[in-house]
Amino acid sequence: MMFGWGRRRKQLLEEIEEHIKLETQENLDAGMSQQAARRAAMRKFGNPLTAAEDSRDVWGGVWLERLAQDVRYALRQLRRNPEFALTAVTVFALGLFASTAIYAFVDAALVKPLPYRSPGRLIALYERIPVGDRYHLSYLDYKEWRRRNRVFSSLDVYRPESVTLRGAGGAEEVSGALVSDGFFGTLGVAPLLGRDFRRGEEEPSAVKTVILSYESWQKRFAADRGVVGRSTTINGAPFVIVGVLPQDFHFAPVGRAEFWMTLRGRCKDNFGCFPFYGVARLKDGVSLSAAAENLTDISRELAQEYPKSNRDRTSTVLPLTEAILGNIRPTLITLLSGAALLCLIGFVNVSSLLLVKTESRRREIAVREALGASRLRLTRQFMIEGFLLAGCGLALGLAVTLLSLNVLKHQIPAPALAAMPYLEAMQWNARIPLFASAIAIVGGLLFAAAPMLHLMRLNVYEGLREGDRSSSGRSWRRSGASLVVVELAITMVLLVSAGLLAKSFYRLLHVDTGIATDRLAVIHVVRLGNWEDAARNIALEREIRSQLSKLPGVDSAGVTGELALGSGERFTSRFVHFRVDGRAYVGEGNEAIYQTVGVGYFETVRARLTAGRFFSVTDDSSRAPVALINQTMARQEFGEESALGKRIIGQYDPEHPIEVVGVVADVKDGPLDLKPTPAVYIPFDQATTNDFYVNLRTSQAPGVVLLSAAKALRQIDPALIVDEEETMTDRISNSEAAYLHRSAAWVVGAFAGMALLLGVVGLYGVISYSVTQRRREIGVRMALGAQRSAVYRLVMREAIYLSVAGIVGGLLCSFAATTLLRSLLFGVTRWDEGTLFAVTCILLVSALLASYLPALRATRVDPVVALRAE
Amino acid sequence: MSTKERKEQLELMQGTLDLLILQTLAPGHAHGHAIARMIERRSDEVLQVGHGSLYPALQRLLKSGLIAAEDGTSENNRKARFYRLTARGRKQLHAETSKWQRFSNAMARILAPVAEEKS
Repeated sequence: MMFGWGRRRKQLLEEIEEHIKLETQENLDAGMSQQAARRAAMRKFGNPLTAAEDSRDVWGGVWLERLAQDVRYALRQLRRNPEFALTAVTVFALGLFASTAIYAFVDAALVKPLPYRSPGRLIALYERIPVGDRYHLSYLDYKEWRRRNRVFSSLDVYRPESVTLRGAGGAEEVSGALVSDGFFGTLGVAPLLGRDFRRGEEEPSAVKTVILSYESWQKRFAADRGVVGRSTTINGAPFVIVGVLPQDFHFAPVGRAEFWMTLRGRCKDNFGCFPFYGVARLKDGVSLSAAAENLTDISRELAQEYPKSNRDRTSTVLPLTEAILGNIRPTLITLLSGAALLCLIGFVNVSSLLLVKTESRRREIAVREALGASRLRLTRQFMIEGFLLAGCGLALGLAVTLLSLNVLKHQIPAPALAAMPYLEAMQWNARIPLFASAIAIVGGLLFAAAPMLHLMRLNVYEGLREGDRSSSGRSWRRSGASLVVVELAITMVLLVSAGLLAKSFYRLLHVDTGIATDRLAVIHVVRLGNWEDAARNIALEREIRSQLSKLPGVDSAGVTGELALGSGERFTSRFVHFRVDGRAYVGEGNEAIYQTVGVGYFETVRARLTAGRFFSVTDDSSRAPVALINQTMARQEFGEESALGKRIIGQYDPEHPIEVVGVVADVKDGPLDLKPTPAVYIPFDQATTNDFYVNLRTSQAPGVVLLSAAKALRQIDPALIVDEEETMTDRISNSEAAYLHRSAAWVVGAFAGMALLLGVVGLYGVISYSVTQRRREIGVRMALGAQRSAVYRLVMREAIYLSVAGIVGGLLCSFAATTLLRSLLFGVTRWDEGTLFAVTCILLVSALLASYLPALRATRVDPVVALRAE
Repeated sequence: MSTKERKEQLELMQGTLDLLILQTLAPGHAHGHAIARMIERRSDEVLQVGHGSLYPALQRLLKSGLIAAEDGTSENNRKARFYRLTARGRKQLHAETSKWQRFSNAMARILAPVAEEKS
């Protein structure tokens, strides 16, 4: 219909012309003059173009034609003012980019389902012990939970396990996992190549089999499809490769495990050994709470039947998604909210620019309206202009997002990426432009709404009158001022959040670790061979200590079984039950961190001794066992009494009570945010291991010393595995807790900075415009003898009024907004006065600076010029 | 046209124009100007058709298929566009006419006493 209209219109106009001629002819026949006849005919007909337009309407499709017209008009408007268009589009694109880029991470972590069959039905199982609620299961737990539960269709276990590979380049430690044979079945994951583990393959008697991760298959086996059925050597023993996992498979609780083996009866006969974590699939129709209840009952039964190993142990039941994503969710939600706020500020900023523009277009609008443009048509015009801006911003923002996604992904440090393998899957997908479009639509609506609402307030005819600007000026100031208050309030929320996050991060990094972390270097060492060979372990420890202490730049050296500030599996697996000799206990006693410590370790890390002595070389296997305990344990077990000389009994060796010879101030043995936890330290010579960390106190920069130390270690024994060389400071700042806190603080900080800039520019705009509007008023005041200071006060009063309104509003909103932050805060409360005060000052000072320039301009108004100009 | 004259003329009620066009076309085809003239003449110049508003109405009827249009030549040998009723248009005309008559009879009965009292 529509496309044929051009021809039809011509035909219709001809027809109308013919009609008028006929009428004219009749009038002539009636005796009128030529001119009068034509005029009368025309009058009788009315406007031919209106008739044609109305006829056009009958056929429909006209809206598209008008749309095209309005778009052309809108484009012309933008072209006429390129600086405005550029600013608006850039600000919009920036906000859109920030939100969309963050969304890409949210999408990868929280929106994209985990790569398992119906992941929502998968459950993570832990033991809840007095120290915490996410601890290991024993073999007994695994078997009995599986046998007795009525809520799971299957229940399996896994544990992270590093393995040793020997290759041409020497030995290497690689991450792997031990699983029960139904593990992949429970997840609902089928191997890409080969087969899954079979029932019974988790028994010690079964042939040793391994399934490779896709990454490992690509990297170590050159993606050879014939690899299935072949044998490979792991931990010095032959394993048959039975399968390769799909590319998109990941299981964050074991990091990026390359080799998946069965547990082969690990700790089968030792119920005091807690190696596993559980994963289970809910039966259809069973709820999470029903499952939790069932497992609580079972663990109570077990605690009664096996008090020796299971006293005080119940269960934790969580959705698997929560177990995997629980850490990152609050961070991501905070970042996304921050981005949304920034985006909103950007929109509001552009809206106020649009308002200024509307103000200068009032006459044009009024003329259009007077000439008969309907309110609807004007509304549509604003909508089109708003959406045109939003559309350009969307295109630009999406282009930047598309280009920067990979760059952003590579900003995540490798250790953090290993802990969060699902972020690896972050890539461009259809949801990202969809999300961006939703934002753009909101933006477009806002852009259209601001000038529209503003004009609705005005009497249209007023717009036609020249000179009379007072009422419009006031109205504009009202619209513009409320937008600026909103901007300042949002800025305040972002500043408060950023301040709190930064302070948390600072507090986290400066938490009292009990050791001096600067100039401290650590290296991980594994001696291949039998780990229980005490003589060789001790010999190695002696050699390392004496050789490394002599290295230039090294002040002292000492070894530990595990690292201070350890995290992950190496931390959670180091709890042992202890009880005080001579006291009655049910079961094995209370849990404490168990740490093997070499001579010189405490001196090297500079732990503080509060009573007794540190270990010495004489604390060897020929003497009675001794231990140091930390202050938390001393207080918990002995209260005000002295702990020295008391004897404690460990669960694994009840025959040999251990004498406490010293108490150290708490050393943070776990993650930075670990609460005070009891700890027992045993001398290396009395509890040796082939797998330990060397700690070095250096007099030079520790980074330099690390290289020579690693070289020295390889000289001592070329077969040693030497890895994880790091300075303690780096280790802390690369830890997952620090990473999450740091990225939250930085990103929200950057958002807050941008918001501050936009908010202050917005305020500057409003005050400047207001000064321009009030030039005449100011001129009159000055002509009547007002002092400059009075004019100055007049302008600043308005600025202060707006800033204070924004700040107060922002503070109120912050109280609500920071509830979101609660789980990210460390060592600060949500209403930390210092932060709130500092942030208020920053915003107030920036706001006053921004208003100072226009105020200065106001005082320079020349009354004569100002009055003549109107 | 004097103000007195204008008072005696009636503006067309919304929607009645379509019916008038159909009625005008009942005897045979006609072009736009002829239709306007005929309506005026047959109502003794009481009904005044805004000639401009005729064309949108014609388009409306064309679209709903009640009339058809074809090119031809007018009485004084000029190119013109002629409109005629379609079968559907004729049916519609009958239906609408009887509806109108019932309506105007009813109106006349209701208004009659008032008119008598006044006169």
